[in-house]
Amino acid sequence: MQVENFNYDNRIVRNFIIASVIFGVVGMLVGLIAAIQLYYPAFNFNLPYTSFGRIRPLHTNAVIFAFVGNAIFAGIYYSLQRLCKARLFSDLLSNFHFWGWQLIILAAAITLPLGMTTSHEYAELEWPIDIAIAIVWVAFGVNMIGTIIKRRERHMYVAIWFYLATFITVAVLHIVNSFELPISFTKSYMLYAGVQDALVQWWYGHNAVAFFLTTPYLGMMYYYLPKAVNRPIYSYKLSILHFWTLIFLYIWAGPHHLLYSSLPDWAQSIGVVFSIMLIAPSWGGMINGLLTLRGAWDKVRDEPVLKFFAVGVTAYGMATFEGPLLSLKNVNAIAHFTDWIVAHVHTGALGWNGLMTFGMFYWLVPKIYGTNLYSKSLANTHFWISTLGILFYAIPMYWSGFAQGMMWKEFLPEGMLKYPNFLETTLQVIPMHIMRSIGGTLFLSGVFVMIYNLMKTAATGKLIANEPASAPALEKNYIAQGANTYWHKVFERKPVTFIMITIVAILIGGMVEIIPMLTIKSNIQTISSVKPYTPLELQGRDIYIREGCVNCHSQMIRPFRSETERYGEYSKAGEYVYDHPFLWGSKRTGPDLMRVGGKYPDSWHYNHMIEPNSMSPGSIMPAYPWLAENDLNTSNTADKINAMRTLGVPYEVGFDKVAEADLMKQATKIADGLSKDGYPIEANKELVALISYLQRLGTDIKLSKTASK
Amino acid sequence: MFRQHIQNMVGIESGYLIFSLIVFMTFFVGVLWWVFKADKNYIKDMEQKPFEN
Repeated sequence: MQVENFNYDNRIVRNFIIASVIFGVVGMLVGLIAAIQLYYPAFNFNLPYTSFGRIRPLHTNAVIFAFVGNAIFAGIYYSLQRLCKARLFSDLLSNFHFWGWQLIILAAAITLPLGMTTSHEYAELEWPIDIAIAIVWVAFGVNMIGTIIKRRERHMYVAIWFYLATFITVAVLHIVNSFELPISFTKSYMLYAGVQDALVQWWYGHNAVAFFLTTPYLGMMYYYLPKAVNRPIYSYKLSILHFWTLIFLYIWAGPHHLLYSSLPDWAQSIGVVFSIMLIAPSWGGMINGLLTLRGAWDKVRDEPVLKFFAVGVTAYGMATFEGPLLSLKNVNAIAHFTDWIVAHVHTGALGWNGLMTFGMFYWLVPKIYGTNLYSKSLANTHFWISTLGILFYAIPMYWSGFAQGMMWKEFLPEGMLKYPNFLETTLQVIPMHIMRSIGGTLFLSGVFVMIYNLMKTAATGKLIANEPASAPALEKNYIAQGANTYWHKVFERKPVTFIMITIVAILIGGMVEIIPMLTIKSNIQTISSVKPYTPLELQGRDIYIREGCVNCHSQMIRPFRSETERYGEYSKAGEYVYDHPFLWGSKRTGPDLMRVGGKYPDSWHYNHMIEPNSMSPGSIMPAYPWLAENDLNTSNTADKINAMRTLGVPYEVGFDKVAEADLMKQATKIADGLSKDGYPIEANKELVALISYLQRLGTDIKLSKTASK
Repeated sequence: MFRQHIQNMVGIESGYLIFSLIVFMTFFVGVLWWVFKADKNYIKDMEQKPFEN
């Protein structure tokens, strides 16, 4: 066969590395600011754009999609070319992918602080950006599959399977979780409501962790770890088993984010069972990674790249053991809504994604610059700073999470809650939050050490933008013989068949969970007293979404005595049928708000929103003075009512025409009441709408009880 | 706790749980069987892929 000469594209790899590092610093810095705000609220500079509810999604999006995302593209594009013995399919697509992705990140960095959000966690970006993500993601997929199709290597190595599964599954997740009805260019409502919306969101949320933060990194582990230690993966057989069982199982586990919620029991049980089974493939992968280092641990002592990989894979093992543990209902009862989840997530994000990324960059940059790493000792310093940073971060958060969970549940012998004031449980854990921000600072300072080291490395070499390579072309009419007829080898030769089988494997789990939820009516029992929101409440709800209240306040009372005692009647699925989107939340930095309606007078909310400390001394909630100053935009009220009707909310025909009058009537009543109490406010202010929404929360059930008496 | 999950399997929706378990077990045993049957030379060949360039 004739040997062909070609070049590997290293420039695109270098570009993605630079983007990852820059956005990594930004994302971690925003995270640090958010962490400091939790004990020093004034650190938001009293600006709406930097308040916690708006920058928390900025932090998560920046770290997941900008830092990790760009690192994935760098790692995949480097290894894919070598494993396929081919240059990337199209330079144009590579550049479109790179710049498109950076523009999306820029759009996120602008829109999230402006409060443009769908409120779906890790999917906060509004519909125009969702479409852009889909287009750029497809460009990435076409570039990857195109490279695979024109490869000069007959069989696809295990790393490529993980890359393909990542592309396919993220595309499916992103599209299904972005079904939304636009109201304007910057605002949309989710297609599904309440329980169904929650299930779709956490099917997405869980699998975004699985297929964005896990599978691409496993693929990269299978390539870079053997390369760095210069020996093959421990067991290739195990990798086949690892791949198929992992992608098959992961999809089913989403409902473990909704245990003890209003999700039907059968769906919760599926989530639990499959989460526990998930230990097996996850640990299969971890063991495969760590045992690759067997007999080479002396190299780990000398080589910082291997240090990062060894601790990274260990962190993966810990996080994937803890995940199933957290999905046991009795553990989840304590851990859910607390800092424990934050600790768990950061063991994965800092330990697995962070350290694997750093290790990979320390290995890649010298390679593409044709030189050696500038300083091993600086890399070692970075390793120790970041490992210490992770410990300083995770340990206080575990401590804090467990303490919160126990305090929320503790009763006095007399049968009353020991901590009836929620605020007390928040203030108790502040020392742990201070420690956590020290851990975060350590981790971030390590990144600066890396930047210096990598820049120096680049300066001592020169970018090999087009790295020459040669390989024989593949025979056109290949007939498999002998060992090559082995079943998996057939898949490895046929990328399209492989992709099809992968799609089937990932769709089964999603379909079994989601289709019954969307089609069987008995899964969500309707409650006759639950009525659609009034136009003013609907506008207030959108302000609640804009300010990101859901980042600290849940709207889901679990059926525990400790919760019904504190918050009132536990939540029913039927109460959420008009909630597009659902706002259950996943973290309680403040108390649950499911039944806050009618608990306090309007004047309490008025004062509390302008200065939380005036009503709850010591509160760490940010102040929202701008709500009392901003005029409510009512120009879109009719559009919102019409959109809701399209989505199935039973507003009467023609209601959109009188909606604004109805809104003003309700607003005037609230404003008059406040003025009478000595808090003059105009009826057209945003705060009035927000108060109307808060006062409505959870009252439909209370009303039905009062009526039946 | 385990009793509760088993009890859940008996309800109207039991079909989904049993179905999902059977589907997964079939899938898993299938993959396991084929992996054990894998040809040694093939495995050796595949695990060397990262080192070919």
